[in-house]
Amino acid sequence: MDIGEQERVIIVEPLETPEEPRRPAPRRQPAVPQPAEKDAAPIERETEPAEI
Amino acid sequence: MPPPGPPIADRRRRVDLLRRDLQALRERYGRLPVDISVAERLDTRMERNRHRITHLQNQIAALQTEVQQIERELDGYLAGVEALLSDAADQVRRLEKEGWSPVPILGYRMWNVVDGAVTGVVQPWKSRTKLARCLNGVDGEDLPHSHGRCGPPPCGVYATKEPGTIYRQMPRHADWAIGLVELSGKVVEHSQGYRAQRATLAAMWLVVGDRAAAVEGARALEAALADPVGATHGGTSRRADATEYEDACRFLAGVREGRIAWTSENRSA
Repeated sequence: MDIGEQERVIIVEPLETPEEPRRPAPRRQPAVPQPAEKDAAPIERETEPAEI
Repeated sequence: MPPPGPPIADRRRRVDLLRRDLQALRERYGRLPVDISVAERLDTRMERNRHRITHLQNQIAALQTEVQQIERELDGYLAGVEALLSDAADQVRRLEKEGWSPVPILGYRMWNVVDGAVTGVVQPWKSRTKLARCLNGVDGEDLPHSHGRCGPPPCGVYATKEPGTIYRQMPRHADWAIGLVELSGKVVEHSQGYRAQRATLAAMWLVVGDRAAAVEGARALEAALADPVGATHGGTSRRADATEYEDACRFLAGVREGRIAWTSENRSA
């Protein structure tokens, strides 16, 4: 499956698991994923995704 | 091993008493007609040893003070290393534009119903949550890989930002499903979708034969994954028609909006 160019990494750390030791909270602001353009070009290439 | 002698303090007391006794005898008789020079030499040696002990104790105290100073110095170095490494990690994340989110990212997925199982491109989904595994033989446990050496296609549980992206690409069987998944852990964002470390099914529109069902809620979703045919014949199912994809998009958009609103309300609470 083609999902376009890789842009960045987002670390999703739910706040409701305090029992797990984690690295110190980052100093940055939470990231808000940007919605894709609604009129994205049709995908022509068929690529099998590595689902798991 | 010989039996332990009397405590040294008792012996010292007895020796002091004997010294006073001998001194009294010397005064009583004006002389001491026995030789106690050996005892006196031992006294001298004992005195030397006491000085030696005091000297060693002072050295131990000085060494302990030095150890404490070095330990304080080490604490200072460690705090410095912590600050430097923390800054370095922050800089890397900033330079790489790494994002962080306390709430799951929402994406879309599709499946086909094959042999009674809700099946993705690679394998059936028997439960709501899928964890990423790299099948490309690339080293590194920071899944899904984002260093560019994995794939194509790179590993991860895939989802798209818009339902149309997956709907146009996925070869559909007669029986299919489209759903909303919550992505968490490490999520690699692409221009049109995501590759996630963990994906949990949040809602699903299921079409089996001439029946369709909108499924939401953990228990209902688990039941639908276990028996998708049964799920499309339950109380909330209906007859499928030509607008299933559009109906599915409306349903999933509603679920998505509800979750975003819930998150916003909780953030502002």
